[in-house]
Amino acid sequence: MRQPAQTPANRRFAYLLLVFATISVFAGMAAISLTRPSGPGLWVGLLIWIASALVGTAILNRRLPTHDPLLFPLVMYLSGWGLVAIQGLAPPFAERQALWLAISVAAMLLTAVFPHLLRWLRVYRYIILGGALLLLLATIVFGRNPSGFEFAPRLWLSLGAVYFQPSEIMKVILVAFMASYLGEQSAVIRADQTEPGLRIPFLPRLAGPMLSMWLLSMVILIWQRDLGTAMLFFIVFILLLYLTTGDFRMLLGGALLVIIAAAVAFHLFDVVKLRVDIWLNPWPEADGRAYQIVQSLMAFSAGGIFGTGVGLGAAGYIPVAHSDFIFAALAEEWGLLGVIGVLSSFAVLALRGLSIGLRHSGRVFPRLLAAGLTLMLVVQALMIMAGVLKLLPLTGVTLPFISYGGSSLLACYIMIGLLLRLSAEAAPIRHAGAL
Amino acid sequence: MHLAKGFRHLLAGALACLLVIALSATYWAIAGGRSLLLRDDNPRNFLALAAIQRGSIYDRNDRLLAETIVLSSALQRHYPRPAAYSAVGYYSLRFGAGGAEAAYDDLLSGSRQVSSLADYFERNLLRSTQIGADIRLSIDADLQHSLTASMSDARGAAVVLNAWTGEIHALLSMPGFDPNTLDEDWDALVAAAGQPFFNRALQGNYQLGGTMYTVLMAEAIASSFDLSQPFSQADALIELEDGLTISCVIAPDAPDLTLVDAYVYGCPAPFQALLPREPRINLDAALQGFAFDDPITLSGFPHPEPIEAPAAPSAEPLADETRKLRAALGQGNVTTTPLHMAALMAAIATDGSVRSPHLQTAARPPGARQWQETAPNPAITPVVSPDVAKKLQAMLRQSWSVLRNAPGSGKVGAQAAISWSGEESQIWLNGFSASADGAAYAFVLVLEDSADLSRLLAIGQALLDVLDSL
Repeated sequence: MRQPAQTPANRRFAYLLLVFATISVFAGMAAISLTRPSGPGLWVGLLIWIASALVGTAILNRRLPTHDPLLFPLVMYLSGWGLVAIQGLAPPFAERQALWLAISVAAMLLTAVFPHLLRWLRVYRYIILGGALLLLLATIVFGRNPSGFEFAPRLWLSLGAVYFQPSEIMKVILVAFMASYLGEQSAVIRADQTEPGLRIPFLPRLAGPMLSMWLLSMVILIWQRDLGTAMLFFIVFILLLYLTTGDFRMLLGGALLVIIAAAVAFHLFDVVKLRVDIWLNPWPEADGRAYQIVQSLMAFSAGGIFGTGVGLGAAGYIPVAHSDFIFAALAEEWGLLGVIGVLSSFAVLALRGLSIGLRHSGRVFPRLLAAGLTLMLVVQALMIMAGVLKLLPLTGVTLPFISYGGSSLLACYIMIGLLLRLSAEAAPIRHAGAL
Repeated sequence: MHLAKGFRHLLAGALACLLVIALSATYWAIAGGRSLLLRDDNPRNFLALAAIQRGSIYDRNDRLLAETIVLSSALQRHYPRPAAYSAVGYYSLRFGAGGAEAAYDDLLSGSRQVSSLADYFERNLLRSTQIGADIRLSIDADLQHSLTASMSDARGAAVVLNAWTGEIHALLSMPGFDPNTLDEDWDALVAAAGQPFFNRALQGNYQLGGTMYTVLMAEAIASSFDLSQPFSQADALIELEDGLTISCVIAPDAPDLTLVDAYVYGCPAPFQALLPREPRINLDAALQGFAFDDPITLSGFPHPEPIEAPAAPSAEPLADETRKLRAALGQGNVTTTPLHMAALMAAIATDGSVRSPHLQTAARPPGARQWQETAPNPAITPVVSPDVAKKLQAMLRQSWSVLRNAPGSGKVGAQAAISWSGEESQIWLNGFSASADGAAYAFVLVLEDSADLSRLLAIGQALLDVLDSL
């Protein structure tokens, strides 16, 4: 039995989720206004969020009636959650984040409703990638850091007062490029794989892009010392390779290269060595270099099961809590229940995103694109959540949709726009579930 | 086909990773969190302390001694009667707590064990503001203020007890500090030569000096020594081997005195001669009977630190005559605190038994109107027999008349004594005030680096004036 993507039940659930999100964000903002001195910016932020949610829902329902009904409410919910947290931690940043949210939702809607975008991403992949690489390389020369600190990574380009991080948009373009390239090669790879006794020949076809990708990641790492983004690009690439080939050796090879890169970086870069050192044993330097991670773990402990309550946490003691460590801030104020809420949201995101890919049976590019975009979001979330919990060394990436960061939010919403477009063009869901 | 399989693998992998993160968060939130939260570098501890609305402290007449006020949108401790610092102590977010603020911190801060599910939810879900209980101390604010004023710039200590209940009505250590400006003054107070944070009333280990005569007199009475026996040259100076000379506190009219006269005038020679003359007097037993080897302390407050030489008579065999002589004159290794001496005076002023001193008499939970009495029935420890106590009372009354050079009303009894610390002299006034209605107060004053009897008596008289109005 088959049914359309937008069943009345799905749509009802989506509306319920949006209503629940609205109530939560309103309650959160109200709590913040009661517990901390707040200006009118708090309510302006709330209004922008509500307007973005309403306009986004209306346009998607009208222009893409068969889109996945859960994705947009889900990411709006996460963004609202983030907005409340940022308002509590760093109010001036919340106002900016609200503006970026409006811009990002607009970009998402443009991406979702523009009919030729998917084809352009496939056909003009080299031009688009080249342009993105140029932007990325431009940061090596013209890069700035909004904090103004001399030794902070210069990953941003500035247009007046507006800062933009090309590596964030690079995430979208790179996934599109990989999906397009691997989609094109998939037929050859499948042919190689079907030849009896000859399983290796497809490897050289992939070894080139694989090593190129590794090199690109290393360049980002070396020039910009952006360990997180480099790791993210490479991991997503390896996962897409695995999806394309179905060969487990891809994962092993990728893991080997990651280990080699990590070992090299550990010996070459102080910042990497520091992060590994404090990951292995932060306690002797809890008041020094490991202050951030130790305070992060304290935030989880302080939150306990139920959390301290919105606006009542002390995560402000974690440096840049509104950005990289916002997961710890949420854990402190919302407790373990909030943590499970965030994790469940990303689990649903993973499920829906990969389902969209699977619904494109027989068309490799949209399949890989949906999977790549989903993996980019989920792997990034896993990396930063594992980092703030000391399961992995800190990577300095943002928590998608929740952390402060205009470029990051924009890139994430563009990815959601593409997923929505892919969901609208996909075959209807099998009732029994595609996965 | 492998594509769908790959999707399933990746989804399973992502979900597994999310599960690992959930487990890790669970560990830090529940199991591993406690040790983290207790770390000194956890700023949340400071914030939690700053958010506690500590209860107020009242004196015995419900006059406010300490309260929590809001100042610049922050909670701050305020002490309307700073003279009570020796008993009330201080509370500072930066420097912790002292005195009653520390001793009764659990009550004042509202710390409590989780005793029910409702408690658990109130603390962990509602995160209600922690509000402490009010406490009432037995301190008398007027008495405390009067003592502080009359001792002014002196170094020393004073203790006043209700002799029948053990309630402490005054507890003073000089020099002191203003707990309202503790944070600003901390460095200077720590560096001050007078050691204001050293509570002399509770921790000061003073040589007994002439107060030892009370011990010897009690032992002489108990051993049926003939108190009418005269001692010739009783007003003689006693010179110890290290050059220390000890004389009568008040010069007697005649050189030959009985032991009672010697006690009244504070003359050392008869007490020096007593031990060889009366072999039934066991000095070790007397010292143990007065519990100098086990000082009386106040629960939750700082205790006296052991002195370098062994304090217990059992560790001091008193084998040679020199040491025995020094001990008999209160210049041996035995020391005592003003609180301990006040408790002994309370025993003498009543029936010969010590009532364990205490400070807190009642508590009032947050929001409650009625006080709940908390003062326990004090432990009663016999020190001397009621008969010995009665005889000592009479001698102390006599001594007070001599000290004031005027006939006494019979209400007050007191003995002045001088001791030598090895570096400076100290002067004691130990006594009691007992009225006809049965009320009895014991008091002890000690002035350091002083042998000024007139000043001591002036302070004592000021103290007695306030005691009359209690």
